[in-house]
Amino acid sequence: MNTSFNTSPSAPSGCRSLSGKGVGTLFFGLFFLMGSLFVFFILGEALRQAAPWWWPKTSCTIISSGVESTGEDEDPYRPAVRYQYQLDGRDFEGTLVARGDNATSSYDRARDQAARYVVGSSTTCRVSPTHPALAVLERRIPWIAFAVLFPLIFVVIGGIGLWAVWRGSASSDDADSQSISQKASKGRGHKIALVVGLIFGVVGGTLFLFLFALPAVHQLRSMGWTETPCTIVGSEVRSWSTDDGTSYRPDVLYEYQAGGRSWRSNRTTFFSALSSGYDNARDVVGSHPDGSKSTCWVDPGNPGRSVLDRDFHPMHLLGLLPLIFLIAGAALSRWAWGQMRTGRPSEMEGPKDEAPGEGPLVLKPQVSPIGKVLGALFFCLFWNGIVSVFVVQAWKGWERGHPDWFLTLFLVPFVLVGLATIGAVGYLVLSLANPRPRLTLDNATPRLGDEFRMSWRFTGRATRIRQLSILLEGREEATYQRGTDTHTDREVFATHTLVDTGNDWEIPRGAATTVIPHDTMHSFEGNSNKIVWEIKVAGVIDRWPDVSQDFTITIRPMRVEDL
Amino acid sequence: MLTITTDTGGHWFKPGETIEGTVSWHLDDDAEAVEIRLFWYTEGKGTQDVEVVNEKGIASPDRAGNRSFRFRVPNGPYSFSGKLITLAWAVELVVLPSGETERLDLLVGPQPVEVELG
Repeated sequence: MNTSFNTSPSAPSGCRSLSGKGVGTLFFGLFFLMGSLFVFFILGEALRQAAPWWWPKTSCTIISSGVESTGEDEDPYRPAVRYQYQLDGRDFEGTLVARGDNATSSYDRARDQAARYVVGSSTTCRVSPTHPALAVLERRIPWIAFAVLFPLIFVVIGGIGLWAVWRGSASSDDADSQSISQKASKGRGHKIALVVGLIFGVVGGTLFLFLFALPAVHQLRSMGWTETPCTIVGSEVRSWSTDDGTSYRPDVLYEYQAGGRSWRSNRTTFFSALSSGYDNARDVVGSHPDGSKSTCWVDPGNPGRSVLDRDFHPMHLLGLLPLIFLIAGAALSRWAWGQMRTGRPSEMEGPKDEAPGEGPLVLKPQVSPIGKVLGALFFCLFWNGIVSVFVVQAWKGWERGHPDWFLTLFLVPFVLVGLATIGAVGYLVLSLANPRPRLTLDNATPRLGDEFRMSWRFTGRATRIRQLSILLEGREEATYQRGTDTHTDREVFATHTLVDTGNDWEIPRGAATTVIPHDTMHSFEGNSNKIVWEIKVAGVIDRWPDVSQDFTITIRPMRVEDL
Repeated sequence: MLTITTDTGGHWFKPGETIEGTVSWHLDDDAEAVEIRLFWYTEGKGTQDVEVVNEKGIASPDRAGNRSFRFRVPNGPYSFSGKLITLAWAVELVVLPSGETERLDLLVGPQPVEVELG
């Protein structure tokens, strides 16, 4: 069948094309412009912060050193260091520790930074060659430069969009949509997926590291710290405006004696990033009023390090959330990498029939029993960990005599799912004690029309199995998008019973043979469409989880010489 | 006007066979390239998969011309039709950058009919 799709541009389609270009240019142009503006500002600030690296050195003397209040709720502390230096016979006084904003939410950080400069000591400072009154004590790496990656994403999207609108416009008009081969990804989609997966993985991993892993490590280490009495010298709820509304944080400044001197700190918990929200801040401040006595935990090896609350709270489990991004990103990257490694040939000759070696092949199950348990356990812990945070909140309401009915009812289905996952984990743990099938194909590369011989052997107590069935199943799998969800439909087109027996002496081991029809479809794997062949082993055990294991096999097309 | 013809006039090719044919074009405007592509594609419930298994490009072609092509058919996938998925083969002649296209549908498999599933 010869199908023609010749088209000649007509006026209306030309108009549509022009208006489409206009909208596209406006949309992507805005992306590009806004992204570029932010890139410009961020790089400008980074250069400003990096400037002291090229400033000349001079000697300076520390006049005073301490911590001062900034008056800002978001970052209320700043190292306050005054120093004196001479240049060209003139005296100058500097107060900048480093270029950029030195304010911080951590009293400890400001205190430690100031402590590096002892009053009366001499040190080196850097002086601006153009403004001698401008000097800094420290040169810092302008980390803000890395923030340029975020607006750079917009610049890249805008740039690619503009390129596609104008350069690719001719080939993306009506005629293009009629070329099916033009839709072939040529690997671009896989590369994008790889990059997106890596970004997700890195962002998820970084968030997990800072929100959960590092705080958890610090918390564990603090188990060996010394219990020390302390006095609350300042306690208030800090609040500041953000893009998403108002943020709150408890700021409890406490004083204690350790190592022969007095220390101050405002580290209430190692999980401070997760201790947001007004209620939490109010509760923390309420339980540590100004002037009250309390107990803190002090690192005996470094008395300046301390924490007020080293207990683990269910809310800290929220720090596990970024693991979703980490796992999803890793899975996406792994898939994309796998797809890229199986690229199409560039030669004019078609691909060779790359069959692995002939001979027997021991099959590996789709998912091992231990893999099933670990997967279910991870999901169970994850799900119940998150749900438990809200259950605790609801429980507190009941304890206080002010139950939150909406939250309680809302949580019911989530708790039921959580209980079901616990049941599933228990079921799968029990199934670990099941006899395990080991399948061997006589021919590692079965083809359509071949005689197919498979042998099986159970490890463990196979006599517990009352009924055994082994099927060879062929099915279609079609994956598609519906809205934002991805669905996969499956349709079995072939089922061959290899074994169906209840005889005790046949179950532990044996062999089965069948002929794969030559007029069916071989294994096939597209990005969204598949033909899957699977050996399904099912064993019925009385009053115990059944044996159920699937083994995917590859059935290849017929040999060319047999056609 | 674009045309694609096979030397044998047939549309069924067994895996391992060679598809030999000729494409011709008469264009109204200059083109950057014309490409001849052997590919398979899916239709049905799943998101469409398309894979170009071989292609031949002719850069800066004359406005009118013809060119013979020769592609070896790989071992698979076969043309098939199931309840969810249909897989078909074709040769396309595509003019770039206009995207003007001519397609010749093919059947690839051991038999002169597509594999029916289910």
